[in-house]
Amino acid sequence: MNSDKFDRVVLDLLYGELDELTTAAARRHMDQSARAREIFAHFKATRQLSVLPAHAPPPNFEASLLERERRALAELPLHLRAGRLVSKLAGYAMRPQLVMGALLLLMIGSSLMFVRARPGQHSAVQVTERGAPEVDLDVVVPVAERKDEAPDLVKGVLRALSDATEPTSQPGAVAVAAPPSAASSGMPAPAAEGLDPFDQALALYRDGHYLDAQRGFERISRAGGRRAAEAALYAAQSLRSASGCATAVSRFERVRLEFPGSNWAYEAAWRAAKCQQQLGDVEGARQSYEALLQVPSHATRARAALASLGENPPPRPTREATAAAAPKSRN
Amino acid sequence: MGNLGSVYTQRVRARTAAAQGSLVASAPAIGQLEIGPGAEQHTMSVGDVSDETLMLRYQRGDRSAFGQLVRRHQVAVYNFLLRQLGSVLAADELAQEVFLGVVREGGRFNYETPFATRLFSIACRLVQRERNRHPSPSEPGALPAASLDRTLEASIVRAVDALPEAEKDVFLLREVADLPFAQIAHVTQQSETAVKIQMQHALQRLRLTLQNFDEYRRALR
Repeated sequence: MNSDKFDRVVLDLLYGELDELTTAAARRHMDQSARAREIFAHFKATRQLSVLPAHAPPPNFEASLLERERRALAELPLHLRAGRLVSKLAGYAMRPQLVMGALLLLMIGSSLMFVRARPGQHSAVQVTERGAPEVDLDVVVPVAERKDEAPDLVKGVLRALSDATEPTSQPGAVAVAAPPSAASSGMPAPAAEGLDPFDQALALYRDGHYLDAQRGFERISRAGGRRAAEAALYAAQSLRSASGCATAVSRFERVRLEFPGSNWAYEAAWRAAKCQQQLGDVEGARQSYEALLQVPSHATRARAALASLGENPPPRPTREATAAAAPKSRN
Repeated sequence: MGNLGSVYTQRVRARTAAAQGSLVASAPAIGQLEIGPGAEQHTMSVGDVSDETLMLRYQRGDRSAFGQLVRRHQVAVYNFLLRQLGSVLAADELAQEVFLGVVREGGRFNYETPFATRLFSIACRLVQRERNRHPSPSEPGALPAASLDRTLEASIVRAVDALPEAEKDVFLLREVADLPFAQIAHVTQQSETAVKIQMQHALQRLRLTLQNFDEYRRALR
């Protein structure tokens, strides 16, 4: 250490603000330099004696100050008080227990978010039917406008099964119970003698001999005549009861195309739509139901079926729209 | 206040003994001296909490922490202002203002600056305001007369009063407030070198006053 450096650090040495190494260097310098020793001795003596007398504050200083502090706190501006409040809350927030509690809640909340079931992305579920065909409970037989024009078969069926019939609100259509299967009913098969071929086939159908009934109805349909369309529908229905919707839907479509504009064709279209719905062909079923909206005898049921598909059906068609659409459906 | 004379003597003896015991004397600060009843509260033991911790507690609503800060620093602040202004009343009033300044800026308290430094920054600002209001020292002779009947002590008081303002600020901040030079530089907004130069000048002026006393010659040996 030289004299210049010593002059710079002499006050730090005097007030004990030097580190140990520099202090030792300054001491060594003073051992070698009389000038440095003299400078330091004068500063030290001056400091030793230049002690100012100390005075205690007035006795009520602290009490008066604390009272003024209380008043000053009450008069603090809003933003400073808000700052104190934030500081206070931050003091609580920094406590480890609260931080750990908040972390725990965050973890639980995020876990629940991931565990929550995701909504399905498919609008329809395809269901495949296996096993014995279900009993058809809603065979709808169209009834002619005039009572005297109703087929004899319908009259007979209505008389025979009037107990089991569930009335529908649909005008012009009657829902009748499906014929019980031979195995479940335990009733003996009715005698086929003396009946015309249609009644014989119908009796077979009612007894659950669907394949025989189908063959009978197909023969009548192929022969043509007054009841050809009706027999074709029953043949398709017998096929459905025997083999299920997968094979019957095309038969219903064929009936609809072979006898356009007839009540049997509309009923075949309705049953084809039902089959399409059961097979999971939602779009095909929707189109079929929408076509039936134009048919007064089937419009209500078609609208309900469309609603069950999850869509709002179009508004009820006006009389003019129905009249305009009727020829189109015959094509 | 009656025992202040003996306190003065004790401080001189303490500094002399410290200087004899080691080359680097670490004299006790005024704020750490025992003055009057309850003076033990002014001392800060190693286990005590720091000023900054107390200030944090006060910001969080613990008013007793403010009381502790007042008890810890009131003597230093009061004597610093007394030596600056020369009036007991003014020192009492301004010392309260200094602590109230801490209350008002509590929300903006900077924890990187030591509390004492912040406290004396406020004190220096208030002193400067008073100097601007009253250019001449207020009420000469207003200091307690009991402290002037000792020749050396009175000479030192007069010599300190006669120091230029900048040197007086530095001297009092070092000797009364016991701030390190770096913190004095922060308070006076000067460089540390400039502060040390002013301190050297202040000590040389005091030396001129003291060198006529036998005590000074004895201290030199």
